[in-house]
Amino acid sequence: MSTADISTPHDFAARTMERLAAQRRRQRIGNILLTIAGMIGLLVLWQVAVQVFQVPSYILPGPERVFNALWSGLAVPLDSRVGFYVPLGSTLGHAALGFLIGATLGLLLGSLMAEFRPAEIILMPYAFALQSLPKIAIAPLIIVWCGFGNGSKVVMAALLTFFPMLVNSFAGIRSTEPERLDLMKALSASRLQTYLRVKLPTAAPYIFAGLDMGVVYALLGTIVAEFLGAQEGIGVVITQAQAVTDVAGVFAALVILGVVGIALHLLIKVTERRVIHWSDRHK
Amino acid sequence: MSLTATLGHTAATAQVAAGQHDPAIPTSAPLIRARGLVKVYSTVSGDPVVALDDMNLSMADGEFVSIVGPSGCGKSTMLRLLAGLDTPDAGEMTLGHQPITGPSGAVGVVFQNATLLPWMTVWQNVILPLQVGGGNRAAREDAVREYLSIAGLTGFENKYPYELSGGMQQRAAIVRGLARDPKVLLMDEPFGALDALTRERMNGELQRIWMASRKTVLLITHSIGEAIFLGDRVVVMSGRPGKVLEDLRVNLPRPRSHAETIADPEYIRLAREIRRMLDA
Ligand SMILES: Nc1ncnc2c1ncn2[C@@H]1O[C@H](COP(=O)(O)OP(=O)(O)OP(=O)(O)O)[C@@H](O)[C@H]1O
Ligand SMILES: [Mg+2]
Repeated sequence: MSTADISTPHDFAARTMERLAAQRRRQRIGNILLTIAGMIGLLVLWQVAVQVFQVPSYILPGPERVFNALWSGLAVPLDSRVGFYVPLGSTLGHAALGFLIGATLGLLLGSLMAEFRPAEIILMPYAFALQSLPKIAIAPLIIVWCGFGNGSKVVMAALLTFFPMLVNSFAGIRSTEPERLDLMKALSASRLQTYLRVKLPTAAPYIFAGLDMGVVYALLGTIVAEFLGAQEGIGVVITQAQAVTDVAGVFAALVILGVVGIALHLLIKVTERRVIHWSDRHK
Repeated sequence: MSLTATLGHTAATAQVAAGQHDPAIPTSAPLIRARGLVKVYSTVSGDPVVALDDMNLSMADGEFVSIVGPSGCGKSTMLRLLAGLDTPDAGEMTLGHQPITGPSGAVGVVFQNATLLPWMTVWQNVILPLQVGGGNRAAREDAVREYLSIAGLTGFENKYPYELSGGMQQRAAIVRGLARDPKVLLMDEPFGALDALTRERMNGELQRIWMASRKTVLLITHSIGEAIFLGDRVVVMSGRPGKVLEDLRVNLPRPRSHAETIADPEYIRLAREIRRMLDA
Protein backbone atom coordinates (compact mmCIF):
# COMPACT_ATOMS: atom_id res chain seq x y z
CA MET A 1 0.00 0.00 0.00
CA SER A 2 2.89 2.35 0.69
CA THR A 3 4.88 3.92 -2.13
CA ALA A 4 7.59 1.31 -1.56
CA ASP A 5 5.23 -1.28 -3.01
CA ILE A 6 5.47 0.15 -6.49
CA SER A 7 9.14 0.90 -6.36
CA THR A 8 10.17 -1.78 -8.86
CA PRO A 9 8.95 -1.97 -12.45
CA HIS A 10 7.87 -5.54 -11.82
CA ASP A 11 5.56 -4.50 -9.00
CA PHE A 12 4.27 -1.70 -11.12
CA ALA A 13 3.45 -4.02 -14.00
CA ALA A 14 1.75 -6.48 -11.66
CA ARG A 15 -0.36 -3.71 -10.12
CA THR A 16 -1.30 -2.37 -13.52
CA MET A 17 -2.41 -5.83 -14.63
CA GLU A 18 -4.44 -6.19 -11.45
CA ARG A 19 -6.08 -2.84 -11.97
CA LEU A 20 -7.00 -3.69 -15.57
CA ALA A 21 -8.38 -7.07 -14.53
CA ALA A 22 -10.49 -5.44 -11.82
CA GLN A 23 -11.75 -2.90 -14.33
CA ARG A 24 -12.73 -5.67 -16.72
CA ARG A 25 -14.46 -7.56 -13.92
CA ARG A 26 -16.46 -4.48 -12.93
CA GLN A 27 -17.45 -3.94 -16.53
CA ARG A 28 -18.62 -7.52 -16.91
CA ILE A 29 -20.64 -7.44 -13.70
CA GLY A 30 -22.18 -4.17 -14.87
CA ASN A 31 -23.20 -5.75 -18.15
CA ILE A 32 -24.79 -8.73 -16.41
CA LEU A 33 -26.72 -6.44 -14.07
CA LEU A 34 -27.97 -4.44 -17.04
CA THR A 35 -29.17 -7.62 -18.78
CA ILE A 36 -31.00 -8.76 -15.65
CA ALA A 37 -32.57 -5.34 -15.20
CA GLY A 38 -33.78 -5.43 -18.80
CA MET A 39 -35.29 -8.86 -18.27
CA ILE A 40 -37.12 -7.79 -15.12
CA GLY A 41 -38.40 -4.70 -16.93
CA LEU A 42 -39.74 -6.84 -19.77
CA LEU A 43 -41.50 -9.23 -17.37
CA VAL A 44 -43.12 -6.33 -15.51
CA LEU A 45 -44.24 -4.79 -18.79
CA TRP A 46 -45.69 -8.15 -19.84
CA GLN A 47 -47.61 -8.60 -16.58
CA VAL A 48 -48.92 -5.01 -16.70
CA ALA A 49 -49.97 -5.31 -20.35
CA VAL A 50 -51.81 -8.58 -19.73
CA GLN A 51 -53.71 -7.00 -16.78
CA VAL A 52 -54.41 -3.61 -18.33
CA PHE A 53 -55.67 -5.00 -21.65
CA GLN A 54 -57.40 -7.94 -19.97
CA VAL A 55 -55.83 -10.46 -22.32
CA PRO A 56 -57.43 -13.87 -21.68
CA SER A 57 -54.90 -16.41 -20.47
CA TYR A 58 -55.68 -18.87 -23.31
CA ILE A 59 -54.27 -16.22 -25.69
CA LEU A 60 -51.37 -14.84 -23.67
CA PRO A 61 -50.89 -15.84 -20.03
CA GLY A 62 -49.00 -13.50 -17.72
CA PRO A 63 -45.48 -14.32 -16.62
CA GLU A 64 -46.77 -15.48 -13.26
CA ARG A 65 -48.85 -18.25 -14.85
CA VAL A 66 -45.96 -19.24 -17.08
CA PHE A 67 -43.72 -19.39 -14.04
CA ASN A 68 -46.24 -21.59 -12.24
CA ALA A 69 -46.43 -23.94 -15.23
CA LEU A 70 -42.66 -24.04 -15.33
CA TRP A 71 -42.44 -24.74 -11.64
CA SER A 72 -45.00 -27.51 -11.68
CA GLY A 73 -43.02 -29.17 -14.47
CA LEU A 74 -39.69 -28.80 -12.71
CA ALA A 75 -40.56 -29.39 -9.05
CA VAL A 76 -41.17 -33.11 -9.60
CA PRO A 77 -39.04 -36.23 -9.30
CA LEU A 78 -36.66 -36.74 -12.24
CA ASP A 79 -38.59 -39.75 -13.52
CA SER A 80 -42.06 -38.22 -13.14
CA ARG A 81 -44.31 -38.70 -16.16
CA VAL A 82 -45.88 -35.25 -15.74
CA GLY A 83 -42.59 -33.35 -15.36
CA PHE A 84 -40.32 -31.87 -18.02
CA TYR A 85 -37.35 -34.11 -17.32
CA VAL A 86 -38.47 -37.30 -19.04
CA PRO A 87 -39.60 -35.63 -22.30
CA LEU A 88 -36.59 -33.33 -22.24
CA GLY A 89 -34.31 -36.33 -21.81
CA SER A 90 -35.96 -38.02 -24.78
CA THR A 91 -35.70 -34.93 -26.97
CA LEU A 92 -32.09 -34.22 -26.01
CA GLY A 93 -31.01 -37.83 -26.31
CA HIS A 94 -32.36 -38.22 -29.83
CA ALA A 95 -31.20 -34.76 -30.86
CA ALA A 96 -27.70 -35.61 -29.60
CA LEU A 97 -27.61 -38.91 -31.45
CA GLY A 98 -28.83 -37.24 -34.65
CA PHE A 99 -26.36 -34.41 -34.13
CA LEU A 100 -23.45 -36.84 -33.82
CA ILE A 101 -24.47 -38.78 -36.90
CA GLY A 102 -25.18 -35.66 -38.98
CA ALA A 103 -22.02 -33.86 -37.89
CA THR A 104 -19.83 -36.88 -38.58
CA LEU A 105 -21.35 -37.51 -42.00
CA GLY A 106 -21.21 -33.80 -42.87
CA LEU A 107 -17.56 -33.59 -41.92
CA LEU A 108 -16.70 -36.76 -43.83
CA LEU A 109 -18.56 -35.84 -46.99
CA GLY A 110 -17.43 -32.21 -46.83
CA SER A 111 -13.83 -33.40 -46.53
CA LEU A 112 -14.30 -35.85 -49.37
CA MET A 113 -15.66 -33.11 -51.62
CA ALA A 114 -12.89 -30.71 -50.67
CA GLU A 115 -10.17 -33.31 -51.21
CA PHE A 116 -11.31 -35.06 -54.36
CA ARG A 117 -12.45 -33.13 -57.42
CA PRO A 118 -14.64 -35.93 -58.81
CA ALA A 119 -16.48 -36.17 -55.50
CA GLU A 120 -17.03 -32.43 -55.62
CA ILE A 121 -18.26 -32.47 -59.20
CA ILE A 122 -20.65 -35.35 -58.58
CA LEU A 123 -22.01 -34.25 -55.21
CA MET A 124 -22.02 -30.46 -55.44
CA PRO A 125 -25.26 -30.13 -57.47
CA TYR A 126 -27.19 -32.12 -54.86
CA ALA A 127 -25.62 -30.20 -52.02
CA PHE A 128 -26.64 -26.97 -53.73
CA ALA A 129 -30.18 -28.11 -54.45
CA LEU A 130 -30.77 -29.49 -50.96
CA GLN A 131 -29.11 -26.50 -49.38
CA SER A 132 -31.69 -24.12 -50.83
CA LEU A 133 -34.58 -26.45 -49.92
CA PRO A 134 -36.26 -25.73 -46.55
CA LYS A 135 -35.34 -29.03 -44.98
CA ILE A 136 -38.28 -28.97 -42.57
CA ALA A 137 -40.42 -29.68 -45.63
CA ILE A 138 -38.83 -33.12 -45.85
CA ALA A 139 -40.13 -34.02 -42.39
CA PRO A 140 -43.42 -35.64 -43.53
CA LEU A 141 -41.46 -37.85 -45.91
CA ILE A 142 -39.12 -38.89 -43.11
CA ILE A 143 -42.15 -39.80 -40.99
CA VAL A 144 -43.43 -41.97 -43.84
CA TRP A 145 -40.10 -43.73 -44.09
CA CYS A 146 -39.11 -44.00 -40.45
CA GLY A 147 -42.46 -44.02 -38.70
CA PHE A 148 -43.98 -42.11 -35.78
CA GLY A 149 -41.19 -42.85 -33.40
CA ASN A 150 -37.73 -42.09 -32.25
CA GLY A 151 -36.18 -43.08 -35.57
CA SER A 152 -37.72 -40.10 -37.32
CA LYS A 153 -36.51 -37.77 -34.56
CA VAL A 154 -32.92 -38.93 -34.95
CA VAL A 155 -33.06 -38.80 -38.75
CA MET A 156 -34.47 -35.26 -38.76
CA ALA A 157 -31.82 -34.07 -36.32
CA ALA A 158 -29.09 -35.71 -38.38
CA LEU A 159 -30.42 -34.26 -41.62
CA LEU A 160 -30.54 -30.72 -40.30
CA THR A 161 -27.08 -30.96 -38.72
CA PHE A 162 -25.60 -32.51 -41.83
CA PHE A 163 -25.87 -29.56 -44.20
CA PRO A 164 -24.19 -26.76 -42.25
CA MET A 165 -21.45 -29.24 -41.36
CA LEU A 166 -20.99 -30.30 -44.99
CA VAL A 167 -20.82 -26.74 -46.29
CA ASN A 168 -18.61 -25.46 -43.49
CA SER A 169 -16.07 -28.26 -43.51
CA PHE A 170 -15.84 -28.00 -47.29
CA ALA A 171 -15.26 -24.24 -47.19
CA GLY A 172 -12.89 -24.53 -44.23
CA ILE A 173 -10.65 -27.13 -45.85
CA ARG A 174 -10.59 -25.17 -49.10
CA SER A 175 -9.45 -22.07 -47.19
CA THR A 176 -6.07 -23.65 -46.38
CA GLU A 177 -3.25 -21.24 -47.24
CA PRO A 178 -1.30 -22.35 -50.32
CA GLU A 179 1.95 -21.65 -48.51
CA ARG A 180 1.12 -24.22 -45.84
CA LEU A 181 0.29 -26.74 -48.54
CA ASP A 182 3.65 -25.95 -50.17
CA LEU A 183 5.30 -26.64 -46.84
CA MET A 184 3.69 -30.08 -46.60
CA LYS A 185 4.47 -30.78 -50.24
CA ALA A 186 8.12 -29.84 -49.72
CA LEU A 187 8.16 -32.37 -46.88
CA SER A 188 6.65 -35.04 -49.19
CA ALA A 189 3.84 -35.43 -46.69
CA SER A 190 1.12 -37.89 -47.61
CA ARG A 191 -2.35 -36.69 -48.43
CA LEU A 192 -3.69 -37.97 -45.14
CA GLN A 193 -0.88 -36.30 -43.17
CA THR A 194 -1.57 -33.00 -44.91
CA TYR A 195 -5.27 -33.39 -44.23
CA LEU A 196 -4.87 -34.21 -40.55
CA ARG A 197 -2.07 -31.84 -39.68
CA VAL A 198 -2.86 -28.81 -41.81
CA LYS A 199 -6.25 -28.83 -43.50
CA LEU A 200 -8.37 -30.06 -40.60
CA PRO A 201 -6.89 -27.56 -38.09
CA THR A 202 -7.32 -24.80 -40.68
CA ALA A 203 -10.96 -25.80 -41.06
CA ALA A 204 -11.51 -26.04 -37.30
CA PRO A 205 -13.06 -22.56 -36.86
CA TYR A 206 -15.44 -23.29 -39.75
CA ILE A 207 -16.25 -26.70 -38.34
CA PHE A 208 -17.08 -25.20 -34.96
CA ALA A 209 -19.32 -22.62 -36.63
CA GLY A 210 -21.05 -25.57 -38.33
CA LEU A 211 -21.38 -27.40 -35.00
CA ASP A 212 -22.83 -24.26 -33.43
CA MET A 213 -25.50 -24.05 -36.13
CA GLY A 214 -25.94 -27.82 -36.11
CA VAL A 215 -26.69 -28.06 -32.41
CA VAL A 216 -29.63 -25.67 -32.75
CA TYR A 217 -30.83 -27.35 -35.95
CA ALA A 218 -30.65 -30.80 -34.35
CA LEU A 219 -32.98 -29.61 -31.61
CA LEU A 220 -35.24 -28.03 -34.22
CA GLY A 221 -35.37 -31.22 -36.30
CA THR A 222 -36.21 -33.35 -33.29
CA ILE A 223 -39.00 -31.03 -32.21
CA VAL A 224 -40.50 -30.95 -35.70
CA ALA A 225 -40.49 -34.76 -35.84
CA GLU A 226 -42.18 -34.78 -32.44
CA PHE A 227 -44.84 -32.36 -33.68
CA LEU A 228 -45.64 -34.63 -36.58
CA GLY A 229 -46.13 -37.57 -34.34
CA ALA A 230 -44.08 -39.17 -31.60
CA GLN A 231 -44.80 -40.76 -28.25
CA GLU A 232 -42.51 -38.61 -26.13
CA GLY A 233 -40.45 -35.46 -26.09
CA ILE A 234 -40.80 -31.74 -25.47
CA GLY A 235 -42.49 -31.41 -28.86
CA VAL A 236 -45.18 -33.80 -27.63
CA VAL A 237 -45.52 -31.79 -24.41
CA ILE A 238 -46.10 -28.67 -26.52
CA THR A 239 -48.73 -30.26 -28.79
CA GLN A 240 -50.53 -31.80 -25.81
CA ALA A 241 -50.61 -28.47 -23.96
CA GLN A 242 -51.82 -26.76 -27.09
CA ALA A 243 -54.61 -29.36 -27.48
CA VAL A 244 -56.06 -28.34 -24.10
CA THR A 245 -55.31 -24.61 -24.70
CA ASP A 246 -52.79 -24.65 -21.87
CA VAL A 247 -50.89 -21.74 -23.37
CA ALA A 248 -48.90 -21.22 -20.17
CA GLY A 249 -47.73 -24.83 -20.52
CA VAL A 250 -46.63 -24.15 -24.11
CA PHE A 251 -44.69 -21.10 -22.94
CA ALA A 252 -43.05 -23.09 -20.17
CA ALA A 253 -41.87 -25.70 -22.67
CA LEU A 254 -40.55 -22.94 -24.94
CA VAL A 255 -38.62 -21.43 -22.04
CA ILE A 256 -37.07 -24.85 -21.38
CA LEU A 257 -36.08 -25.17 -25.05
CA GLY A 258 -34.63 -21.67 -25.07
CA VAL A 259 -32.51 -22.33 -22.00
CA VAL A 260 -31.33 -25.67 -23.39
CA GLY A 261 -30.48 -24.01 -26.71
CA ILE A 262 -28.39 -21.34 -25.01
CA ALA A 263 -26.66 -23.94 -22.84
CA LEU A 264 -25.74 -26.04 -25.89
CA HIS A 265 -24.49 -22.98 -27.73
CA LEU A 266 -22.30 -22.03 -24.77
CA LEU A 267 -21.02 -25.59 -24.52
CA ILE A 268 -19.87 -25.44 -28.15
CA LYS A 269 -18.30 -22.01 -27.64
CA VAL A 270 -16.37 -23.10 -24.55
CA THR A 271 -15.13 -26.22 -26.32
CA GLU A 272 -14.18 -24.13 -29.33
CA ARG A 273 -12.17 -21.69 -27.25
CA ARG A 274 -10.26 -24.59 -25.73
CA VAL A 275 -9.62 -26.43 -28.95
CA ILE A 276 -8.81 -23.49 -31.23
CA HIS A 277 -6.79 -21.54 -28.71
CA TRP A 278 -4.59 -20.14 -31.46
CA SER A 279 -7.20 -18.62 -33.70
CA ASP A 280 -8.21 -15.28 -32.15
CA ARG A 281 -4.63 -14.23 -31.63
CA HIS A 282 -3.36 -15.59 -34.89
CA LYS A 283 -5.85 -14.14 -37.33
CA MET B 1 26.51 -14.62 -71.18
CA SER B 2 24.41 -16.40 -68.60
CA LEU B 3 26.44 -19.55 -69.03
CA THR B 4 29.45 -17.49 -68.05
CA ALA B 5 27.67 -16.46 -64.92
CA THR B 6 26.90 -20.08 -64.21
CA LEU B 7 30.36 -21.42 -64.52
CA GLY B 8 32.49 -18.54 -63.39
CA HIS B 9 31.68 -18.46 -59.73
CA THR B 10 33.67 -21.27 -58.18
CA ALA B 11 37.06 -19.72 -58.72
CA ALA B 12 37.62 -17.37 -55.85
CA THR B 13 40.12 -15.28 -57.68
CA ALA B 14 40.60 -11.55 -57.49
CA GLN B 15 39.37 -11.45 -61.04
CA VAL B 16 36.06 -13.00 -60.14
CA ALA B 17 35.82 -10.87 -57.05
CA ALA B 18 36.03 -7.86 -59.27
CA GLY B 19 33.00 -9.15 -61.14
CA GLN B 20 34.93 -10.50 -64.11
CA HIS B 21 34.17 -14.15 -64.72
CA ASP B 22 36.68 -16.50 -66.15
CA PRO B 23 35.06 -19.64 -67.55
CA ALA B 24 38.47 -21.07 -68.36
CA ILE B 25 39.22 -21.82 -64.73
CA PRO B 26 38.22 -25.44 -64.05
CA THR B 27 35.52 -25.93 -61.46
CA SER B 28 34.68 -28.83 -59.21
CA ALA B 29 31.23 -30.23 -59.97
CA PRO B 30 28.63 -28.00 -58.32
CA LEU B 31 26.09 -29.48 -55.90
CA ILE B 32 23.23 -27.60 -57.51
CA ARG B 33 23.16 -26.73 -61.15
CA ALA B 34 20.29 -25.12 -63.00
CA ARG B 35 20.59 -24.30 -66.68
CA GLY B 36 18.33 -22.47 -69.05
CA LEU B 37 15.32 -22.51 -66.73
CA VAL B 38 12.14 -21.07 -68.21
CA LYS B 39 8.90 -20.70 -66.30
CA VAL B 40 5.76 -19.31 -67.82
CA TYR B 41 2.61 -18.78 -65.79
CA SER B 42 -0.70 -18.69 -67.52
CA THR B 43 -2.98 -16.13 -65.98
CA VAL B 44 -6.74 -15.85 -65.72
CA SER B 45 -6.69 -12.56 -67.60
CA GLY B 46 -5.11 -14.16 -70.67
CA ASP B 47 -1.55 -12.99 -71.25
CA PRO B 48 0.95 -15.54 -69.99
CA VAL B 49 3.61 -14.23 -67.63
CA VAL B 50 7.19 -15.22 -68.36
CA ALA B 51 8.58 -15.37 -64.83
CA LEU B 52 11.98 -16.85 -65.68
CA ASP B 53 13.78 -16.86 -68.99
CA ASP B 54 17.07 -18.70 -69.39
CA MET B 55 17.88 -18.62 -65.69
CA ASN B 56 21.17 -20.23 -64.67
CA LEU B 57 22.59 -20.92 -61.26
CA SER B 58 25.09 -23.24 -59.75
CA MET B 59 26.15 -23.66 -56.17
CA ALA B 60 29.13 -25.52 -54.75
CA ASP B 61 28.75 -27.77 -51.73
CA GLY B 62 28.70 -25.69 -48.55
CA GLU B 63 28.37 -22.42 -50.38
CA PHE B 64 26.13 -19.56 -49.27
CA VAL B 65 24.59 -17.79 -52.24
CA SER B 66 22.34 -14.74 -52.00
CA ILE B 67 19.94 -13.74 -54.74
CA VAL B 68 18.76 -10.16 -55.07
CA GLY B 69 16.54 -8.71 -57.74
CA PRO B 70 13.61 -6.40 -58.29
CA SER B 71 10.23 -7.44 -56.91
CA GLY B 72 8.40 -9.82 -59.23
CA CYS B 73 11.52 -10.84 -61.14
CA GLY B 74 11.02 -14.53 -60.41
CA LYS B 75 13.09 -15.16 -57.29
CA SER B 76 10.38 -17.11 -55.49
CA THR B 77 9.66 -18.94 -58.74
CA MET B 78 13.30 -19.99 -58.91
CA LEU B 79 13.19 -21.25 -55.34
CA ARG B 80 9.98 -23.20 -55.96
CA LEU B 81 11.58 -24.89 -58.96
CA LEU B 82 14.69 -25.85 -56.99
CA ALA B 83 12.51 -27.11 -54.14
CA GLY B 84 10.65 -29.36 -56.56
CA LEU B 85 7.35 -27.61 -55.81
CA ASP B 86 6.91 -26.60 -59.43
CA THR B 87 8.26 -27.84 -62.75
CA PRO B 88 10.07 -25.62 -65.26
CA ASP B 89 8.77 -25.25 -68.81
CA ALA B 90 12.29 -25.63 -70.17
CA GLY B 91 15.78 -26.16 -68.82
CA GLU B 92 17.28 -28.62 -66.43
CA MET B 93 18.14 -28.73 -62.75
CA THR B 94 20.30 -31.20 -60.91
CA LEU B 95 21.07 -31.80 -57.27
CA GLY B 96 24.18 -33.86 -56.87
CA HIS B 97 23.94 -35.60 -60.20
CA GLN B 98 20.25 -36.35 -59.97
CA PRO B 99 17.72 -34.28 -61.89
CA ILE B 100 15.30 -32.45 -59.61
CA THR B 101 11.83 -33.82 -60.33
CA GLY B 102 10.05 -33.21 -57.05
CA PRO B 103 10.50 -32.44 -53.37
CA SER B 104 13.45 -34.16 -51.76
CA GLY B 105 14.60 -34.83 -48.24
CA ALA B 106 17.94 -33.36 -49.23
CA VAL B 107 16.39 -29.92 -49.57
CA GLY B 108 15.02 -27.84 -46.70
CA VAL B 109 12.82 -24.85 -47.41
CA VAL B 110 12.17 -21.73 -45.35
CA PHE B 111 9.22 -19.88 -46.84
CA GLN B 112 8.65 -16.18 -47.34
CA ASN B 113 6.35 -16.04 -44.31
CA ALA B 114 7.38 -18.14 -41.36
CA THR B 115 4.49 -20.57 -42.00
CA LEU B 116 4.82 -22.10 -38.57
CA LEU B 117 1.61 -23.99 -37.94
CA PRO B 118 -0.22 -22.05 -35.21
CA TRP B 119 -1.88 -25.15 -33.76
CA MET B 120 1.45 -26.77 -33.01
CA THR B 121 3.99 -25.89 -30.35
CA VAL B 122 7.47 -24.81 -31.37
CA TRP B 123 8.72 -28.34 -30.77
CA GLN B 124 5.92 -29.93 -32.78
CA ASN B 125 6.63 -27.47 -35.57
CA VAL B 126 10.34 -28.10 -35.77
CA ILE B 127 10.02 -31.89 -35.69
CA LEU B 128 7.21 -31.90 -38.25
CA PRO B 129 9.72 -32.80 -41.00
CA LEU B 130 10.70 -35.86 -38.97
CA GLN B 131 7.13 -37.06 -38.64
CA VAL B 132 5.75 -36.73 -42.15
CA GLY B 133 6.89 -37.86 -45.55
CA GLY B 134 7.68 -41.43 -44.58
CA GLY B 135 10.87 -42.89 -43.20
CA ASN B 136 11.81 -43.10 -39.56
CA ARG B 137 13.74 -40.03 -38.56
CA ALA B 138 13.12 -40.09 -34.83
CA ALA B 139 16.87 -40.44 -34.34
CA ARG B 140 17.29 -36.84 -35.49
CA GLU B 141 15.41 -35.35 -32.56
CA ASP B 142 18.60 -34.72 -30.62
CA ALA B 143 20.09 -32.84 -33.56
CA VAL B 144 16.95 -30.71 -33.79
CA ARG B 145 17.23 -29.95 -30.08
CA GLU B 146 20.79 -28.87 -30.75
CA TYR B 147 19.68 -26.52 -33.56
CA LEU B 148 17.00 -25.09 -31.29
CA SER B 149 19.66 -24.26 -28.77
CA ILE B 150 21.91 -22.70 -31.41
CA ALA B 151 18.91 -20.64 -32.51
CA GLY B 152 18.38 -19.51 -28.91
CA LEU B 153 15.02 -21.19 -28.60
CA THR B 154 15.76 -23.59 -25.76
CA GLY B 155 13.01 -23.22 -23.18
CA PHE B 156 10.44 -22.19 -25.77
CA GLU B 157 9.71 -25.73 -27.03
CA ASN B 158 6.25 -25.82 -25.54
CA LYS B 159 5.21 -22.33 -26.53
CA TYR B 160 2.88 -21.71 -29.43
CA PRO B 161 4.02 -19.54 -32.36
CA TYR B 162 1.72 -16.68 -31.32
CA GLU B 163 3.59 -16.53 -28.02
CA LEU B 164 6.87 -15.85 -29.85
CA SER B 165 8.26 -12.68 -31.38
CA GLY B 166 8.53 -12.44 -35.16
CA GLY B 167 12.27 -13.02 -35.00
CA MET B 168 11.88 -16.12 -32.85
CA GLN B 169 9.28 -17.50 -35.24
CA GLN B 170 11.68 -17.04 -38.13
CA ARG B 171 14.45 -18.81 -36.25
CA ALA B 172 12.07 -21.68 -35.49
CA ALA B 173 11.20 -21.86 -39.20
CA ILE B 174 14.92 -22.10 -40.01
CA VAL B 175 15.38 -24.87 -37.45
CA ARG B 176 12.48 -26.69 -39.07
CA GLY B 177 14.17 -26.26 -42.44
CA LEU B 178 17.27 -27.94 -41.00
CA ALA B 179 15.45 -30.74 -39.18
CA ARG B 180 16.06 -33.44 -41.76
CA ASP B 181 19.68 -32.49 -42.05
CA PRO B 182 19.24 -31.46 -45.69
CA LYS B 183 22.25 -30.84 -47.88
CA VAL B 184 20.64 -27.69 -49.19
CA LEU B 185 18.63 -24.99 -47.43
CA LEU B 186 16.49 -22.72 -49.61
CA MET B 187 15.28 -19.53 -47.94
CA ASP B 188 12.81 -17.05 -49.40
CA GLU B 189 13.15 -13.65 -47.74
CA PRO B 190 13.11 -15.19 -44.28
CA PHE B 191 13.62 -11.84 -42.56
CA GLY B 192 11.51 -9.66 -44.83
CA ALA B 193 8.93 -8.94 -42.16
CA LEU B 194 11.38 -7.90 -39.46
CA ASP B 195 12.58 -4.44 -38.46
CA ALA B 196 16.09 -3.44 -39.45
CA LEU B 197 17.77 -4.06 -36.09
CA THR B 198 16.18 -7.45 -35.49
CA ARG B 199 17.04 -8.33 -39.03
CA GLU B 200 20.72 -7.59 -38.49
CA ARG B 201 20.71 -9.74 -35.37
CA MET B 202 19.00 -12.53 -37.31
CA ASN B 203 21.66 -12.23 -40.02
CA GLY B 204 24.32 -12.72 -37.39
CA GLU B 205 22.50 -15.73 -35.98
CA LEU B 206 21.94 -17.23 -39.40
CA GLN B 207 25.65 -16.88 -40.11
CA ARG B 208 26.33 -18.67 -36.84
CA ILE B 209 23.86 -21.46 -37.65
CA TRP B 210 25.29 -21.77 -41.13
CA MET B 211 28.89 -21.89 -39.93
CA ALA B 212 27.88 -24.59 -37.42
CA SER B 213 25.96 -26.66 -39.96
CA ARG B 214 27.88 -25.94 -43.20
CA LYS B 215 24.82 -26.37 -45.37
CA THR B 216 24.60 -25.19 -48.93
CA VAL B 217 22.33 -22.18 -48.61
CA LEU B 218 20.38 -20.18 -51.15
CA LEU B 219 19.02 -16.97 -49.64
CA ILE B 220 16.55 -14.79 -51.49
CA THR B 221 16.42 -11.28 -50.15
CA HIS B 222 15.44 -7.71 -50.95
CA SER B 223 18.21 -6.35 -48.80
CA ILE B 224 21.51 -5.68 -50.53
CA GLY B 225 23.26 -5.43 -47.16
CA GLU B 226 21.90 -8.78 -46.03
CA ALA B 227 22.87 -10.39 -49.35
CA ILE B 228 26.49 -9.26 -49.04
CA PHE B 229 26.78 -9.79 -45.30
CA LEU B 230 25.74 -13.43 -45.55
CA GLY B 231 26.74 -14.52 -49.03
CA ASP B 232 29.84 -16.11 -50.46
CA ARG B 233 28.31 -14.88 -53.70
CA VAL B 234 25.58 -12.48 -54.61
CA VAL B 235 23.56 -13.26 -57.73
CA VAL B 236 21.83 -10.19 -59.12
CA MET B 237 18.75 -10.87 -61.21
CA SER B 238 17.23 -8.68 -63.90
CA GLY B 239 13.63 -7.52 -63.87
CA ARG B 240 11.01 -9.89 -65.30
CA PRO B 241 11.61 -12.17 -67.08
CA GLY B 242 14.26 -13.02 -64.53
CA LYS B 243 17.75 -14.02 -65.51
CA VAL B 244 21.20 -13.52 -64.04
CA LEU B 245 22.57 -10.02 -64.51
CA GLU B 246 25.70 -10.54 -62.49
CA ASP B 247 27.27 -13.07 -60.19
CA LEU B 248 29.53 -11.42 -57.65
CA ARG B 249 31.92 -13.04 -55.24
CA VAL B 250 32.08 -11.62 -51.73
CA ASN B 251 35.62 -11.62 -50.41
CA LEU B 252 35.02 -10.77 -46.80
CA PRO B 253 36.51 -12.79 -43.94
CA ARG B 254 34.25 -14.81 -41.66
CA PRO B 255 32.79 -14.68 -39.16
CA ARG B 256 31.56 -11.31 -40.26
CA SER B 257 30.21 -8.72 -37.87
CA HIS B 258 27.93 -5.94 -38.95
CA ALA B 259 29.98 -3.21 -37.37
CA GLU B 260 33.09 -4.20 -39.29
CA THR B 261 31.59 -5.53 -42.49
CA ILE B 262 29.62 -2.44 -43.44
CA ALA B 263 32.77 -0.34 -43.12
CA ASP B 264 34.86 -2.67 -45.26
CA PRO B 265 35.80 -1.17 -48.66
CA GLU B 266 34.91 -4.48 -50.33
CA TYR B 267 31.41 -4.32 -48.85
CA ILE B 268 30.99 -0.73 -49.93
CA ARG B 269 32.19 -1.48 -53.45
CA LEU B 270 29.84 -4.47 -53.81
CA ALA B 271 26.89 -2.60 -52.39
CA ARG B 272 27.45 0.27 -54.80
CA GLU B 273 27.78 -2.07 -57.77
CA ILE B 274 24.65 -4.04 -56.91
CA ARG B 275 22.65 -0.89 -56.33
CA ARG B 276 23.78 0.52 -59.64
CA MET B 277 22.61 -2.64 -61.40
CA LEU B 278 19.26 -2.69 -59.65
CA ASP B 279 18.66 1.01 -60.29
CA ALA B 280 19.50 0.70 -63.96
N1 LIG C 1 1.03 -18.93 -59.60
C1 LIG C 1 1.25 -17.86 -60.41
N2 LIG C 1 0.38 -17.58 -61.40
C2 LIG C 1 0.57 -16.54 -62.23
N3 LIG C 1 1.63 -15.70 -62.12
C3 LIG C 1 2.52 -15.92 -61.16
C4 LIG C 1 2.37 -17.00 -60.24
N4 LIG C 1 3.42 -16.96 -59.38
C5 LIG C 1 4.16 -15.91 -59.74
N5 LIG C 1 3.64 -15.28 -60.81
C6 LIG C 1 4.20 -14.12 -61.50
O1 LIG C 1 5.53 -14.42 -61.84
C7 LIG C 1 6.37 -13.32 -61.58
C8 LIG C 1 7.50 -13.72 -60.66
O2 LIG C 1 6.93 -14.03 -59.41
P1 LIG C 1 7.84 -14.37 -58.15
O3 LIG C 1 6.93 -14.64 -57.01
O4 LIG C 1 8.80 -15.42 -58.51
O5 LIG C 1 8.61 -13.00 -57.94
P2 LIG C 1 9.65 -12.59 -56.79
O6 LIG C 1 10.91 -12.21 -57.46
O7 LIG C 1 9.72 -13.63 -55.76
O8 LIG C 1 8.97 -11.27 -56.22
P3 LIG C 1 9.04 -10.71 -54.72
O9 LIG C 1 10.43 -10.20 -54.55
O10 LIG C 1 8.04 -9.61 -54.73
O11 LIG C 1 8.69 -11.82 -53.80
C9 LIG C 1 5.50 -12.21 -61.03
O12 LIG C 1 5.21 -11.31 -62.05
C10 LIG C 1 4.25 -12.92 -60.59
O13 LIG C 1 3.14 -12.08 -60.77
MG1 LIG D 1 9.05 -13.75 -53.71
